[in-house]
Amino acid sequence: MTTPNDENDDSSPGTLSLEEANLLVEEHAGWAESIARSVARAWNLDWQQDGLDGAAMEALIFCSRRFSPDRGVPFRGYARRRIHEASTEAARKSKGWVKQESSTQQERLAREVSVELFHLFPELRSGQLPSVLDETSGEQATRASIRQLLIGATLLTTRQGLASLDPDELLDCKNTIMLLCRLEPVHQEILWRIYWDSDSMRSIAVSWDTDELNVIREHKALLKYLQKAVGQTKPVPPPRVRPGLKTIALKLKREGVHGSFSQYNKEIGGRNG
Amino acid sequence: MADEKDKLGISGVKDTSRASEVERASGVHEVEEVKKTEGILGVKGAKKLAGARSTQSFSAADREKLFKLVDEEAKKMFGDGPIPQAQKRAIDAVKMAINASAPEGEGEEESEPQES
Repeated sequence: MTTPNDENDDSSPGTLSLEEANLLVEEHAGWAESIARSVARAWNLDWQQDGLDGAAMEALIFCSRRFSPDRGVPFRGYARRRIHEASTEAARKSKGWVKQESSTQQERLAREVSVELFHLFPELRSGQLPSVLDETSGEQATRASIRQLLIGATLLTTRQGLASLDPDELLDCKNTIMLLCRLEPVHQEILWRIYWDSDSMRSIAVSWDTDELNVIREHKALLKYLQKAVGQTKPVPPPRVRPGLKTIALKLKREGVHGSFSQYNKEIGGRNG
Repeated sequence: MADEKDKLGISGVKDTSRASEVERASGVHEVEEVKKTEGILGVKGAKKLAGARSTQSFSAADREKLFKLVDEEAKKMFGDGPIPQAQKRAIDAVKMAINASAPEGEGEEESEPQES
């Protein structure tokens, strides 16, 4: 997060006067600190010693200077995601993150995955669970959101596990890879680019010259399929390509693309003889 | 070129030296009264948007309940047997992310509308 060097720079129409902005900072300082504390608590860090307090305040000041009440968004709604992002960035750069003697390798890897979850599901930063495509509500919707998070995290830990030297973990991850190999090439590309290449859904949509919503919906449908298929002994039929991405799917097939996981599996198989 | 013009029925510009005067717009003589609109007979119900998504906010007060749901859903998804390391990490990571997203004391105060 960058902050403007000169406060006079930020004079876009509708923004508050410096006095009003400072009042906002005063009013919300405790709230911004509570965001920093929650981030520190989750990762066993010290919110002050590890500099999360400063990052949160800096982001709060930045937001107060840019906030425009005319846009009709409440200040907390506007600032929360940015303050959370600044706090997590500060956490990752902190000494506590790098040197946590008390934490195990498993904990460190889990922490890295939780950071990536914020990139995949940015609504978490606003204290919201990922949305679901189904018309469910109440606890059913909450459970469906949690399943999405679990599957997203499982794909990330699979990527980690493939780099592991533990044979048991390698075998478990291989099973997940085999499941991904059954998917349509276009679906494999989506998951590979998001979870292995850390591409955003927007950049995938841009590279395919399609609407971002097509990729977002396809991704949600894939997570739903994986929820059913993971841990099952009987194979679950893979999902069909939704209409929004049919043209891309056909194009990939015409180009002879088999899918990144299939390709990866072939390479691994080749290396192991 | 000329042949083509003939085909399209466009004749050449005859004289550019003289311009005739633009006539004054004549005054508006009469304006008809705006009539009343007929009563609206009925409005059809709005159909559900395909793929409409609802948001589910949570606070620090919901944390323990969410952790419990994470454990239950993980058990359903991964089975009852011993959970492999990678999946254990996935469960821990989800709990960490939820924990880091719920500031203390926020559940007690008035809920704020979220950024759209």
